[in-house]
Amino acid sequence: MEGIKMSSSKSIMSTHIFSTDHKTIGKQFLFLGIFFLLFGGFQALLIRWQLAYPEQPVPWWLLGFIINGEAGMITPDVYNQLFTMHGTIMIFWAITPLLIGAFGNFLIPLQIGAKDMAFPTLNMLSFWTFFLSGVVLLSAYFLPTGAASGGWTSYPPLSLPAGGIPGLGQAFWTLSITLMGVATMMGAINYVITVIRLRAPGMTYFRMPLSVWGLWLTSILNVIFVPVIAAGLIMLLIDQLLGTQFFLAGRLAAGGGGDPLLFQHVFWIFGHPEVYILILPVWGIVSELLSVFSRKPAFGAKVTVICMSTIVVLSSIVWGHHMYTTGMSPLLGKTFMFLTLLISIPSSIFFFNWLATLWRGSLHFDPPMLHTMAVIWVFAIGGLTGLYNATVTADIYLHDTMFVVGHFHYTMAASVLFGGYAAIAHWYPRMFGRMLNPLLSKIHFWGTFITINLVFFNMMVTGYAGQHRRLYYPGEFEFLQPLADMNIFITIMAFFLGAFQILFLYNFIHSMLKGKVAENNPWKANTLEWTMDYPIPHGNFSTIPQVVNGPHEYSNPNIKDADWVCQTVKIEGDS
Amino acid sequence: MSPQVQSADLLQIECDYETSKMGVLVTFGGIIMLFVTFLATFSAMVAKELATIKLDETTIIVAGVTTIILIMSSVLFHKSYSLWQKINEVTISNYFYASIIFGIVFLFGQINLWKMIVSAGFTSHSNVLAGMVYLIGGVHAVHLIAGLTVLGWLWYQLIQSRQVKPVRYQMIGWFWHFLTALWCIIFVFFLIVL
Repeated sequence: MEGIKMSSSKSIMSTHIFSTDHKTIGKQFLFLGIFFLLFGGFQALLIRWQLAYPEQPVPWWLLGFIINGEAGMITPDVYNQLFTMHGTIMIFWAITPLLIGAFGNFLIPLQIGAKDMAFPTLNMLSFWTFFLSGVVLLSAYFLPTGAASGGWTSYPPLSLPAGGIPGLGQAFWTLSITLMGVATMMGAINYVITVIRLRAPGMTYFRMPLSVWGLWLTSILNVIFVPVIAAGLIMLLIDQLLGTQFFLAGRLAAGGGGDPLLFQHVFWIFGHPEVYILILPVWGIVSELLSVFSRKPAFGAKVTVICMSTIVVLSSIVWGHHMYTTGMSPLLGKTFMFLTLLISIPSSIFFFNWLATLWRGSLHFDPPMLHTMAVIWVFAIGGLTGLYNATVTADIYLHDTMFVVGHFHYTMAASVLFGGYAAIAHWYPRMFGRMLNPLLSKIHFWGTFITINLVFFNMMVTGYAGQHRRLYYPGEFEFLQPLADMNIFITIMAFFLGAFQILFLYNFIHSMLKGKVAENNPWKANTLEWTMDYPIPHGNFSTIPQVVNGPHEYSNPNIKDADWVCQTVKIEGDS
Repeated sequence: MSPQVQSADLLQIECDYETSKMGVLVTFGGIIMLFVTFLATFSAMVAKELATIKLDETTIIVAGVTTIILIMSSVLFHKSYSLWQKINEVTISNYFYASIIFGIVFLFGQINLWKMIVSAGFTSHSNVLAGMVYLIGGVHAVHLIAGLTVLGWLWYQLIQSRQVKPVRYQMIGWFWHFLTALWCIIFVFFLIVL
């Protein structure tokens, strides 16, 4: 009995906690990502409360009792910590694990016909290093001076003790992101090698689902650019802790000093590809799901792949557009503007490919499709407003205003959020063997779609009217006082947006326990992950499949009695 | 074992070998990007004339000698691997021990080098270029300590007479050679820029 107990306890540890099964690790990333998404979202609501009701205590229903400020009000210090940690958490600890960690792990081996990742133990270490980095980040809240407050970019000298932020909060921030980078590298190396080495026979690169393409390109960017920010963070960390002066200048630097702008260069050499690191998986997932729910081949799938790859290359040479206002030479500014605007060409091409996939398709408006189509809308707005920020003359006015905040929330937050929800709704049956409640999913979708647009679009309006980001109390400035009502409106919509996410959480948990049991392939999709019975065992395939088709064989006239066929089934009559 | 099963096993071993090799190469790519960023930042600091650093001949000679010691460590490791493959895939050769010892000597040489630069008046607080030299050397040393740890693991496996997969021995060697090559590039870079 004792032996059985021990063996069973060992089994729980190895199958649910320190598992090397990519599917379990994917779910671990998903749960962690959702936790941080809610945490970061809650911080966003506190930020919005301050912007709408600056001199009023935070109410109990917004957990006002945990605010350590004066009479329950958000103090400037707490406000700085809120927007710093909100940005940091959402980018690195919510979007990254949700899209790259969860779906990268879950999908890549299943969709390419592999038994697991190339290095399963490294994969497990990646998750636990990531978890540790999250613990380090959150533990900064328990420091006497609180968490980091230098903005998610943490530019020096502000982020250094000499520059004005005391305590160890910034050092914890820097250390946690460095650790997160190590975890990301472990995952990225695994993804890159798994795709290169472990594709099933017949799974050529152009037969890979576009979701895998997106994740693979993201991993390549991660391998190249995460070490760049790691170098910058190591320098920043020893500036913070050991008193070196790489990023200090002027009278703040006692011994000659270095150059704060160098950090900005290093940060954005990584930071701009990071935008694509986050969005590429969504592009892949959207390209894939549009095909599934339009019952049509993805229009110009190869061209979409080429466009995504082109963007990967271009993304590495456009970082200067984040620094137009740093006094860079006009020639350099124009060069960065030209290169940045070039990105709109491949982006437009695959965007039109999405629309062409929808054209005359047999559209099924199931929850995954609704979220997918929302990505098309929000990404269009995010992309188009990006053109203003890419243009030097417009950016000098718009830089650091709420316009930029609205723009990047459309691009990174709304697109990635809807992409993530599309992926969750689509692959939920494969992950948990049950279906999400479709009615709740649709209510959640429409609620989120309407409110998210009202929040982020109006942010751009306030920014265009001159409201700077990161202001503690915009009403202090006379010219911003007419925007008070709009700020209140945005805040109320943000609360509704938050409330709809609670509905998602309820649906997510409730469906896992009591949802309708899913059939093996509820969406009638072609790709390999739908070919197995649930639960999919560790090792996935009893025999490695032989792939004979591409991933988008929908409505092929040679397929009899159905409008789809699995990638492993040969279509009679096709050459 | 039937010939078919044997060939399937061989195929799997070959597959693992190729996968490991590729994994190690991609990891090297990441490490290279880390050091490229350091060196690019260093170059930017030199170009902006944020500080100057002049090293005397003795320091440069000591740095050269430690570099030669690391190169020897790498060569000795290669010899030990070749011998291990040829003679017997269990025992350890003296080359292996010598490789580890030379690696450790290099590390102590680096510490000594740092002391010499500090005593010449270039501290990390007073001179950003000196700070970068310590940082780049330090981060390389951390990688070297990781390499020595892996060498220690390999040594432990061999003295326990455990079978070590040839691919592991070879990949550890690759890592060691890579760190040597990396240091040589850094050293030459410093010589040229400073």
